[in-house]
Amino acid sequence: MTFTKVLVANRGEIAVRLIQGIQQAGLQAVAVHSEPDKHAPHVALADDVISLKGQTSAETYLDTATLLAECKRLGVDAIHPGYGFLSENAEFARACKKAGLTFIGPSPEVIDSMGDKITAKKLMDDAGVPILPSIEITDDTPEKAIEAEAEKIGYPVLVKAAAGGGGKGMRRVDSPADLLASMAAAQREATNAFGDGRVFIEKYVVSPRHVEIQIFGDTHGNAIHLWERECSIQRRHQKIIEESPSPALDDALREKMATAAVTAAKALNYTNAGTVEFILAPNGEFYFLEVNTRLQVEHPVTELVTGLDLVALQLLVAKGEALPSQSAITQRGHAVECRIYAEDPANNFLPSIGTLHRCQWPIGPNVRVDTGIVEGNAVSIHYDPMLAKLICWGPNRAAALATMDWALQNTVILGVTTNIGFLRQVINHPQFISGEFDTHFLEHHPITEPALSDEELALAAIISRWPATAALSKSTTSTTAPNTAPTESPWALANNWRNAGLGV
Amino acid sequence: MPTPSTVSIACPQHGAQDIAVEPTGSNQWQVTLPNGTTLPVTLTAPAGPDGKATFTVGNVQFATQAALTNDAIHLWLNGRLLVLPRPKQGPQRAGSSAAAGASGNAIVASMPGKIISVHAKAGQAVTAGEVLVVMESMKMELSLAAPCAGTVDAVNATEGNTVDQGAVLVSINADEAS
Repeated sequence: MTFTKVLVANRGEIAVRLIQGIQQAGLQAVAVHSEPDKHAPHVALADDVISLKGQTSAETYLDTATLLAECKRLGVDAIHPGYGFLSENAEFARACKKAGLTFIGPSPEVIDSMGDKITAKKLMDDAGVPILPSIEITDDTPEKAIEAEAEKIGYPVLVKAAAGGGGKGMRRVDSPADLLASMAAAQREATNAFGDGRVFIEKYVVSPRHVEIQIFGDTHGNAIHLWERECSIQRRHQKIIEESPSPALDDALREKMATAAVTAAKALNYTNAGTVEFILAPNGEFYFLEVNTRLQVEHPVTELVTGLDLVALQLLVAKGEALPSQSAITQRGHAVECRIYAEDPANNFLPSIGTLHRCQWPIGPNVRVDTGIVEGNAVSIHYDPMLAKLICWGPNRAAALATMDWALQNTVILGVTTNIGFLRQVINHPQFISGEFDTHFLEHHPITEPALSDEELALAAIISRWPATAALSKSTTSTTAPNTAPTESPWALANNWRNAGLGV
Repeated sequence: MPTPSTVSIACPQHGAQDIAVEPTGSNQWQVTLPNGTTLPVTLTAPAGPDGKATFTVGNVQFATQAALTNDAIHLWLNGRLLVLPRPKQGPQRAGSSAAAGASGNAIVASMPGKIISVHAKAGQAVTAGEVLVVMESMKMELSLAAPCAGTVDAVNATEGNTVDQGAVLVSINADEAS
């Protein structure tokens, strides 16, 4: 299957990453954008552009009919969905195929089967991949049987909605006495939230880590892994720091988990890139969580330790070529990724919007910046608040973290509140540095902003009353649109403020 | 001659700090902190339109960047962002907090976003914790609940509208505390 012109059906940093990769492979890349994204860098980078009317994702990036029609018009012959949006939409993958387009990702059948939690779990169990012991509960399951099964799994257990997500309809149960009441409550919650009251009971892993294995399959029947990523540092069940290798694994466990992931890939006849996510218990037992049938946000950490370009591999598989052999894929050194979000850690990590008055990225050895924004862009309420990913490499974990600390310190974003300072606090936290943490790290180790030093406080006082320092401003021209210019500096406005009678 | 003036800075750990600032020369000031410490501040590299400036405070040098937003100065200081409220027209009151957000009897938008649903009407009796507004921003849904039991006084939220952070969406007349 050959193709020459690829639509990147996405936005933000991943659209930039994919367009660059497609162009580096000697192919043409087509971008799509909504009205608010008109000035986003992925648009300027592309060889051809699809401009859509509308602001919301539904009107634009998810409008499959328009996208497919535009592909036909522009002579596009392949689509890369990135992550999110249409990436795990089996219907869309089928529609691409029908329209004669190569969908760069797994088959629609695999996307379907992994999209359903219960089906996925059964498939993995059949293939011999360890799964969390669980019981399905139907209306006619006798209470006694439920209690007996829960006892067999061992407390604590987790009651989960079959149709669930986002923690809704989920309850931890610590003792048999609470089981039936918690189950009833979870059923009510699930009915309200999803219109589907089915629940199941699963083993609850205390102090779990999130460790995932990058897998790849090709059309020649090969399935390989690209080692693991550790993604335990999460807020709101969303990863914010990822690294490879995982500090939790020794070589034997690493090999065991990687082998399990390849077993899963082979059982599914998996093609293209995917990730097998596992829960790792403190005793080294691990359990299948889910398969993400797409390229992941955190794929760069794998790229930095393996030296492989995952997008190039995706293109190669989509063209029908064979993957490199497993023995050629080794981990070298250590990589860590921090996700920079427009959000306020001091306000429950709620998103922050505004104009990006300044974006300065760290440029230096062993630092990679994946971003889809430039100075002057607006961060709006319509899309994901992730602004960029910093990915740092070092010969060992300590070196990679030291480089990350430097990179975070040298990332300047003004105009929206970000989690940069917060990420630095985590990177430098003794518990994080020790490598001994689980997915509850941020709940158990609240990160507090450090106090300002005397010198910092003094300087903040001077700058906050900038009118008084009008002498600083070399410019005497008044600024006519003081609130909109993207790179406006307070110093330039000093005269205006003085004129307003605010100077001292 | 310039006279000293007082500035209030919100410190993450110690709350509002009243700081006295006195110009002592061209691009030079003397700053007195609430703990009595006095520090000289000098602008050592000219401030440019790109928002970069270098200062010496005591014997510590700082390379800073700053930008103006609608209501604040965003200052990048030692690898962290400080949001300093912009001086307002007219006389300034030290220590006045910016948004009177957490009003006890109102539901306030805790983030900018779009109103997804409204479950309140004027005159309706509500219980504390009852979800009255659901809003969405950047793919994230947020349920806003009544802070107290009472009667809905006014509803300023309309489904489909976008609101700023701090907007009062529903005001409630609290029941008399028993």
